[in-house]
Amino acid sequence: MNRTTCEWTRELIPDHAAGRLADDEIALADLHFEDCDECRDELDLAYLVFSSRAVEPEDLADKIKAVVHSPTVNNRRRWWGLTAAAVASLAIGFNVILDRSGLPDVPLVESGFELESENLWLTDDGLIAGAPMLEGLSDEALAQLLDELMVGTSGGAA
Amino acid sequence: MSDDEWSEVILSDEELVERGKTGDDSALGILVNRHHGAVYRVALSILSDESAAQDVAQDAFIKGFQAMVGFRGEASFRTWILTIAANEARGVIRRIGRRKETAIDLAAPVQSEDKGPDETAVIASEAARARRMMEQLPEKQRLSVVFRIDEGLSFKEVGEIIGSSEGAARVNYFHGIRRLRELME
Repeated sequence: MNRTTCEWTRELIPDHAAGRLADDEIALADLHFEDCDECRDELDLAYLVFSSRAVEPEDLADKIKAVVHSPTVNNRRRWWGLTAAAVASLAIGFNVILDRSGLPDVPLVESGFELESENLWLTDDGLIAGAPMLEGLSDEALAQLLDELMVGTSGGAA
Repeated sequence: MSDDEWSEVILSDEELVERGKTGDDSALGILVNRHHGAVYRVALSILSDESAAQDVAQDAFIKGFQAMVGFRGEASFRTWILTIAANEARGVIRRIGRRKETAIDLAAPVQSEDKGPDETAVIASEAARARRMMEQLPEKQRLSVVFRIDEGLSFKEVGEIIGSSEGAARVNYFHGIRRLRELME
């Protein structure tokens, strides 16, 4: 069997098994499957995998929406947004100061590496750096932090 | 059709995110409707625990929406929320120390017109066996297979979620499929 055709077909197999392909792609792939047992077997396996995917509980979306829309989370979301805006303003301010100091323009985070270790993940909880420390704070603590940040940006309290 | 139903059909994730940033709760609800299944399955594929996966799905949306103001759209919203869910699930495993080994509630194979009940039952049995065999794959191979087939993610998206390059995600997927075929024989 033509290696290029096999490679092209194998790229499509997951979407073919899950019914996500367009009709013309299905027709082309099916032509290949008639002559290639190897790819046909792989399609059958992908179909078994897709058939056995887990189904989410029926009420899960409603449960998530109830929590997301709860007043506590809504308030925290609002405060988080304000605090993040204040932190961003501070960061921009620092950047301007650093630029004036003539420091070289070196990125803070090196991004050209590969995380190949089985146990390495980008962050502990998926949020941008600095966010997790805000999460456990009460609304009052967040308000106090915001006040301090505002004082800091306006040149200090009397 | 109500305004919410209309929005659910026509608005892209990016448009919903922008509305969500301005406090539009219905936009956030639509994002939950669209992605909660995938978020749940990503968590489940890592945790193998239905109850914990539901908790992680909930936490992922809460954290995602709280951090939404920092979302710049460099990745799609789907990749972003799935990455949060995957990292949340990894955090749970770190806390409890291991994955749970339990049978999970699987989708029943669709009964097609050209397959009788007997053949459908055989397929269901083989499908369940395939899912059990997947548990023997190394994690990145297993997750690459799950994300590519179950959720239709591109290899680039798979790589972003498992912390690999697009090429490494592709290699993990094909090695996983080859190993799964060997296990099924």
